Amino acid sequence: MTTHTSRNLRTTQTAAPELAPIPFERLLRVELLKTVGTRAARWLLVASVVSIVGGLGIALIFAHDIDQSRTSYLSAAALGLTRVTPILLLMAMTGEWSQRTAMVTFTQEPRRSRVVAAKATVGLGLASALAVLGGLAAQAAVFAARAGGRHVSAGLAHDGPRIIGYLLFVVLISLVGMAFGALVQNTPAAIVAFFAVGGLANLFSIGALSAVGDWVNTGVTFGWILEGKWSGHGAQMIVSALLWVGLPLALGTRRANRREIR
Amino acid sequence: MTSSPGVIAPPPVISVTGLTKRYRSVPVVDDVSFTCRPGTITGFLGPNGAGKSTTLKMITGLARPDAGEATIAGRRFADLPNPTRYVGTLLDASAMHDGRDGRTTLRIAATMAGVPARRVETVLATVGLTGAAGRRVGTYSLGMRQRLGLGQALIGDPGVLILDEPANGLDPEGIAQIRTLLREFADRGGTVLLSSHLLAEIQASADHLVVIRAGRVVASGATADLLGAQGLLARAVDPEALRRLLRGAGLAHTPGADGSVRLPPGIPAEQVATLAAQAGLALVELRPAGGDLEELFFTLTGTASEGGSR
Repeated sequence: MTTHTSRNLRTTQTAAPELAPIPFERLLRVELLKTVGTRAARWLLVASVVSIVGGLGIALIFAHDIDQSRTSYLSAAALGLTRVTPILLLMAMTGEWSQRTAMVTFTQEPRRSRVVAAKATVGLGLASALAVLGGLAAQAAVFAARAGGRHVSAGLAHDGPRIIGYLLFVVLISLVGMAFGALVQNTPAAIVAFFAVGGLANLFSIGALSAVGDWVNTGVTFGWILEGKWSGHGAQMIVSALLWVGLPLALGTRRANRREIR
Repeated sequence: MTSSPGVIAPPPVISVTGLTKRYRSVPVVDDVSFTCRPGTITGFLGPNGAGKSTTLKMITGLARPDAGEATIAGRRFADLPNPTRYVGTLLDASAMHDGRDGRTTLRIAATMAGVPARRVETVLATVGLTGAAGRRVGTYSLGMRQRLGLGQALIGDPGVLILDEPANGLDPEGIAQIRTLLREFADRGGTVLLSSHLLAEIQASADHLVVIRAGRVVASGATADLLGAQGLLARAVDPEALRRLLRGAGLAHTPGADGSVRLPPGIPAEQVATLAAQAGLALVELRPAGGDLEELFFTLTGTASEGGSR
């Protein structure tokens, strides 16, 4: 607070302030900066890479227990990644509330649903980027296994749906975490809800309940996506995605719009 | 939208009309109205829990009023297209992400406002945080958070500042700096609204005071008028002799519990001093009354602000 800089403090006192609303592109840049600009987020990004390497390492090392095919390598990358990415996106959503920065953010942009939309878009982009990274790592692992003299079955014609399925699976599971963060608006509670509700949905695999589970249990429906079993399950996959991503995200946006910030 | 130079005008810039907020039907802010004009600092004064923060949050669109309205430059806060270019706010210095460093915090605010990135360094220097800019906010003291919060408020080069207890946690040097900074801001035509629960903290810098208590405005007006309306406080080595002297001179007065004497407004201090000197009476205190919020409340409303029966 030195006075010699105060001359620069207000240079446009008489000039008209910018009247244009904040462009969405700028909100995206801010949210990306926020998502990767904290210590926790940087560790989670490191953890994402570690989880990919870990998942693939297991597939490489335990060659006799794990089917040596591109799809099993992709699954290994997916299972590793999806331990971490949902939490990364979840925390991007809850951070404003848990760290109370909502007070600052929503005075910067009072149209709160635009902020939530920007967070969701950045989350989608980040999850997609990490999914692609995991896919490339899986391909590298396949090359490594072959270089070691192992036979790994992989053919693009056959694997096409599986590759797309893998990418969709990672992105969808990540978005479920994000949607829970948007709805619950508190980091520990959202993490607990994310895992607990996933577990509860799994109950719909028992007996007659599985008829319902085929629509709501992401363990089943997203499993089809991962395995590329599209035919006959399209509607079920879409219903699952709407139920676990669309609905909580919509409710969370409404809640953010209405919530009072103390 | 077309814009003309000096779009911040016409006065008043901040206009609060009948703001009311109830929690479970209990009013915490009750029909609060006031205005803030360009070039002035308005002190929003009241004890803790009087409803200051809630009022400021309603002005800035963070809380919904149950009745009334607040506008800034004629618009509701939520209708300002890019609010931080109009209004800099510091509502809670603890509301910052602990895991971010100070510079990143300001970079986010600068990006949001759409101002050049170099302004971050300017503002860091202004609030005295250049040296600590690379440290995580989690390691900051409350005073440093206040400085960073003030930086956040200033980053968009606004014409209006709304600050909730900005002196909280600052050392005396920091308080003096913020006082200078706000005075210069107002002198350049800016509008400042800041809250405090300590009269001493803002009576030197605020041009106007809005005094709130239990959710209601109990007084508002020019600081000099409000404080001047409190008359004089005099204290002598011999309290009895002083009171005899005042009675003899026909000056109305009320004795205080601590041996001091209060004189109503309109009596010049010179008159009392001369009287005492002529009588050979030693005075230990002769000053405008109302040194703290308690005394101010007492003279404004005739009741103590806290602990008293209502």
